[in-house]
Amino acid sequence: MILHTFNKPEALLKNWQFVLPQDTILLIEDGVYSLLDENLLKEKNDIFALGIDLAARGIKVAQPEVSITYGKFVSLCAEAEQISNWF
Amino acid sequence: MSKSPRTINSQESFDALLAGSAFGQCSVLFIGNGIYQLLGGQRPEPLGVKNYALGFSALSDYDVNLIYCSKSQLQLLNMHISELIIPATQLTDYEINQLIVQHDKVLSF
Repeated sequence: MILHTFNKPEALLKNWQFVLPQDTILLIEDGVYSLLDENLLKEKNDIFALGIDLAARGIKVAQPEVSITYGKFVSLCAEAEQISNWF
Repeated sequence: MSKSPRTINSQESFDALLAGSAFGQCSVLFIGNGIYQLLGGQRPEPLGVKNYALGFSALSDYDVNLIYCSKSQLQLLNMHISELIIPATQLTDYEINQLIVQHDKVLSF
């Protein structure tokens, strides 16, 4: 499993094709704006977003499990075989 | 205003708007990522950043009542007019062209 982080919506749009179905997606900083598109959560991938970044930008998500803490961020990094940062 | 919240650009443009309002009639147009500034319920304080977006609701006290945003770009960002912190008038691309023509000075941030 690869952990892909995206720090802006454009980064996700441009690099979506490099994400495999079993990979995990983590949205950070302005990347959390991607969740304004509700269809994103219909994708097969596990998708997370930093809760502090969601709150700062006034973005609400219907599924509370999507919003994670810095602690869970660290866990995801530790669990992943590779980490790919897209920006 | 065309930049995301919490960029220097967005804060400076807000300050420029308040300063300008002391001298004459000002309008403000939000386009591109600048529309993100208008999302309600922003709480950036845990990141150590001041929430200047709260000031938008005070714009009417500064006689800034002409607040516009791009209709097409609002849709592009998957946002709805009801999510905005202040009521903004949605303009088509043609209406934005006309708006710019009508103004004596245009400052872009």
